[in-house]
Amino acid sequence: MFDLPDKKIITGILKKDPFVFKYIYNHYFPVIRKMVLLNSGSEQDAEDMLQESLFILYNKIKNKIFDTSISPKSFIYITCFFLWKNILRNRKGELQNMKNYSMCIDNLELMDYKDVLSREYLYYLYFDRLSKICQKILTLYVNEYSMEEIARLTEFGSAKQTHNKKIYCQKQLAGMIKKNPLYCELTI
Amino acid sequence: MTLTEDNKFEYIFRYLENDLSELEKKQFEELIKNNQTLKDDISLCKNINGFLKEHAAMLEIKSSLNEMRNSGYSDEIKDMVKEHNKKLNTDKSYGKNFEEFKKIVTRSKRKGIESTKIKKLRPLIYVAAAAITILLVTTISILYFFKKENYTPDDLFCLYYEKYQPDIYKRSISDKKISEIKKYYCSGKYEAAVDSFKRIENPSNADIFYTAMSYIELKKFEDAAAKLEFLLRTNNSFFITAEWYAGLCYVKTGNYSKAFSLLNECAQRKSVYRGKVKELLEKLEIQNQKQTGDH
Repeated sequence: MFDLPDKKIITGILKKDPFVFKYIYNHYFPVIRKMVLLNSGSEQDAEDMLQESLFILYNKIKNKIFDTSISPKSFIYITCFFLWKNILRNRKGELQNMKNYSMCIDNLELMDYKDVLSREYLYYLYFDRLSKICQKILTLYVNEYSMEEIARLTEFGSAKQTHNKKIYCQKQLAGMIKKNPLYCELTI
Repeated sequence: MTLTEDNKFEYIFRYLENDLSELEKKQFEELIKNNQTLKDDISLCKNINGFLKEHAAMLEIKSSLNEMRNSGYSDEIKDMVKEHNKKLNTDKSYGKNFEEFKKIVTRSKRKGIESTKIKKLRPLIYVAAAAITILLVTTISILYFFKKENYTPDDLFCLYYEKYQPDIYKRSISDKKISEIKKYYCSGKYEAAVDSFKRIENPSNADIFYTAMSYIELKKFEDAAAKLEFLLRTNNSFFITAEWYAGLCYVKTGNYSKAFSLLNECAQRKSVYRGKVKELLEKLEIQNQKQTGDH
């Protein structure tokens, strides 16, 4: 993974630089697309989300009220997340049936066990209870970063040490899920 | 091998990733045969891996959400979204601005795709009109880009580099070694790919290519360029791809003259890279002129 510095992205958005927009499409769109497709949306919905989030970000930068300590990538992801959540809420109450656990990641703790219909919920819940470093390593790993890159980004140590830590995190997640009595009763 | 409650999951995950030694693997498979609990645990671990993969995007968003929450910014974004939705419905000029902005973003995304299409020859008058338009557009573009921020070699590389995605991995007995390097590359084990290459006596073009791609991922651009240049000495199925990536390596290392010569060649060929090559050449030209001007 090779990333353009945040500062360049911010200036690029402000100048409406087509190359920076293209970079954003190439690097950020796959995550947004996956989120939307996973939660009853279409490719077009995903594109709309990205464009709206970019416009919100553009206005923030233009009005000089964008907090530069926040990465534009995180800003875009979270804006898309809330935008999509709003849309789902308006579309026939799709969020209310509690099947879209992934869209509830911002308040999983508030959900009641009686609302749980799937193991997916347990996976999210216990992933949330892993240490920050474990969450980061596993997130980077599933997003296809190499061990060398994960080691560099997390400053954990060598690639080998990071690999061992990843196995430890996976092991911890499996252990916690298995201990939950609901696990055996639930279907995937 | 002794499996305990403490080390069981570690062995399972390592087994699933093919990370056990041959002996460990054999012993582990023996244990699985008569142990239903172990089979169930393997199934749980497979499910977890499947879940992590399927929900990779959501987990990345979750990690961003945590980052935002720590800085107290997530509620602010929620409010921004509400305000945006409200304005879209009530403020006409806001809506108009958004539509214009959308057009620019959409055009940026499509620019590369459109430029790769092969155009048919048009009657002379259209060709002349097109030539004048191109001349005008190029002049305007150059003036426009002169006003833009400088792109460092790093920036240009980031803007254009996309990790090479090979076709579906196929294994056969005769190409065991080739598959090994490709397999390491596909699973992100770049150091292992490079090490494996060093052990091969007569590497194939595919071996060289995937080693070069691994060098890029390891940020060893000069090594990558050397391997890719080797592929450019003969005609082979990796030629055009090697030309593009070698060009990018030279951009990254700031060797613009080499980058120019390779990318110019690449721009003459009909390939999926043609559009991107032309765009990159334009930017390189501008950077080059700026550098010359600075001196």
